[in-house]
Amino acid sequence: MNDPLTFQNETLHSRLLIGTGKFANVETMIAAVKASGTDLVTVALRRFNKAQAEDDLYGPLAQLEKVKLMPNTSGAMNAKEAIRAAMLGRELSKSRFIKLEIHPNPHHLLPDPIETYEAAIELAKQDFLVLPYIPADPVLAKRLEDVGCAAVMPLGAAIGTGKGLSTAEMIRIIIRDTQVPVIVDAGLRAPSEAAQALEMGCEAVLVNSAIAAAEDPEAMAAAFKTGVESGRAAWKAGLMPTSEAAVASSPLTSFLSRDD
Amino acid sequence: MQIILNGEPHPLEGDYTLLALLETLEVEKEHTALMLNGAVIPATSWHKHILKENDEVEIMVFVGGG
Amino acid sequence: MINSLPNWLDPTPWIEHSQSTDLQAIKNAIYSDHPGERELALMLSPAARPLLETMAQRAQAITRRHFGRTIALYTPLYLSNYCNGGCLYCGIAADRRAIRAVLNVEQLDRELDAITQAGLDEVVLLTGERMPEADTSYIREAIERASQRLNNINIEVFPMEESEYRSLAEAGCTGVTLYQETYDPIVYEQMHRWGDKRDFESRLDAPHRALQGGLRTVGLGVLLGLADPSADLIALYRHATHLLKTYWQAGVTLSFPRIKPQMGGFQALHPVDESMLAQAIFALRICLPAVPLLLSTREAEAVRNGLAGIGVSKMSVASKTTVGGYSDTAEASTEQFSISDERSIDAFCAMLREKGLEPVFKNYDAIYREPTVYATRS
Repeated sequence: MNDPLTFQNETLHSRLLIGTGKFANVETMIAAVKASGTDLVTVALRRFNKAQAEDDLYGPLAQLEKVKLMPNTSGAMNAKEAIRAAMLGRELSKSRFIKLEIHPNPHHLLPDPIETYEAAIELAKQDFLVLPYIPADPVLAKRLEDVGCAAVMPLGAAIGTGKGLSTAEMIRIIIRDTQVPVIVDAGLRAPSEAAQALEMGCEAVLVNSAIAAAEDPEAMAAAFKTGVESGRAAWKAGLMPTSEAAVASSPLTSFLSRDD
Repeated sequence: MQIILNGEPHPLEGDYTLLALLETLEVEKEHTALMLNGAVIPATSWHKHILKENDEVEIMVFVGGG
Repeated sequence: MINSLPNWLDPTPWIEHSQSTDLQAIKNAIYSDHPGERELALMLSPAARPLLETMAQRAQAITRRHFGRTIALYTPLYLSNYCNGGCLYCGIAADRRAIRAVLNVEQLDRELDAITQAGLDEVVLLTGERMPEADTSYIREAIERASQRLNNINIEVFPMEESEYRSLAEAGCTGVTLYQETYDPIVYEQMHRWGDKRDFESRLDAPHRALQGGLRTVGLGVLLGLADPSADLIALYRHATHLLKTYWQAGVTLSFPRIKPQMGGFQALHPVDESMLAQAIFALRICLPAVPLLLSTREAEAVRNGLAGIGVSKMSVASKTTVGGYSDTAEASTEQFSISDERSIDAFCAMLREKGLEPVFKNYDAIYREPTVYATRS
């Protein structure tokens, strides 16, 4: 099925993006990434530690030929740090993709809209494909589109909470008003929720915790793959409308029955 | 002399470039990104930077993240 | 003449749906959660006529959600009917025998005072094409005088440059109305026989220039009946949605009066009956739930009474389309089009209240307003 998702000159064939954090070990993560069919995964940056050399994912991920790497800026507390993290990430990934995430509060990990906006301005100028992780705020989404972000990534719910599309109504508005792709990131727990996001008109979803924390991550990744494909196919097929019962007690158009 | 490597003091004997430092640490050069005193240094320039006393070096690799 | 419409505007891909006889598809369109061009076209089909009551019900429900039970009021004020244009359908085209007039400062002040005393707070200042008698600086001065008394000042004049729009915004202008008249380039060329108005593309681009210049609202429109109404309405919808996506802080309003005979005897090629007008209003309300839809005094009392609050959210009142018509002190002048609803403000508002609608004379105060600045777009 030829239904690619394009960002400027980069093209993705899968609408499921995978986060590589929280897995028990590298082998499980790689198996899940493969099962998901994804062609874009996020990675984080951390100090090299010889004692934990197996944490270095570069080697294992490089073996998955078609999978692109998107560094994230997690750990950054403000725009300046996020910009520096993005520059470092680009050195390694050699790609323009950057997931801009700035969440200074470790209890809820919700994104800082102000620092994110400031960082996005600079990163867009530096020719990154900026995919900012944001609260589901339609005005913020337009602001980020204005400064040149390649997409917007509103959260469904706070990271790791698995509360699904708690921001669905706001996401609907973002989809309606934004001209760049809308990718739901964070909070998804079940493949049905990913399907729902695609059915609403999102271009893709990014899933991490739901797969890494599942009993069988590889199988869950495969389930998310079919969920995303199903949601996208349904959206393209045109869902039937929810009905709206009429409530007026007397006819509204009787004034038209006169001859013109 | 002493540099700060990934936040910890690290002794060095003699002259080291960033490239030489990485080689002594037996780090996979292709898998790392470097910062020197807060600035990102591209791999093509690692051989140009000679480390001085109290230089802060950060060696970053990709790990799992969402 | 332009070769073809730009992609973002061209209604052609959806025109076949406006001839659809598939009643189920039309019903789905009326109830669609996310109506777009296709649903609009289906709702404009003649086959949708039996479903007009259903469309009216949905249009009313949506209007109530977004506008409450209110009707915003405004009134037109003709500053000048001097015109060198050649619009075939207009009573004040250059070759019509028309009595020309332009308001001087005293006359303008009297008109504005009469409007203010009637309690109105939104005015549309009108002129013909760009003329020395009523040029940009004349219009700017009129805006300055109007903004001393009123908070919402709209102009419906000739297409201007961005710098001109900016100057008017700084003087207190809050909106620009500029109908494309028709989005059919062939008909457009036939209708606009000479002069600046023949430039289809410049006119099409003018709302962009107005918004870039810092004006808050643009009013788009077509004259229903000049060309295929469905094609024109789909293009109007696309024009509106394009502007709303590009200038996301702007307001867009729509108006699509039916072309009526004027002094020169022009007859519409595609006459639109009242039911088609109603169908168009309901369909556009369903497809653009939050965009104000205007209905002027060109329509008869019964039609205005019937459509108020059902799709229509804003109406002109006590209109005079002559120059100096409000204060009865100016010389006689030729009207641009004939008014069908001649009710006084009080009578019109009494009708609205009887229908359970509240007339709104004043919207926002202008005290804290500054022209909007957009990120520069290519």
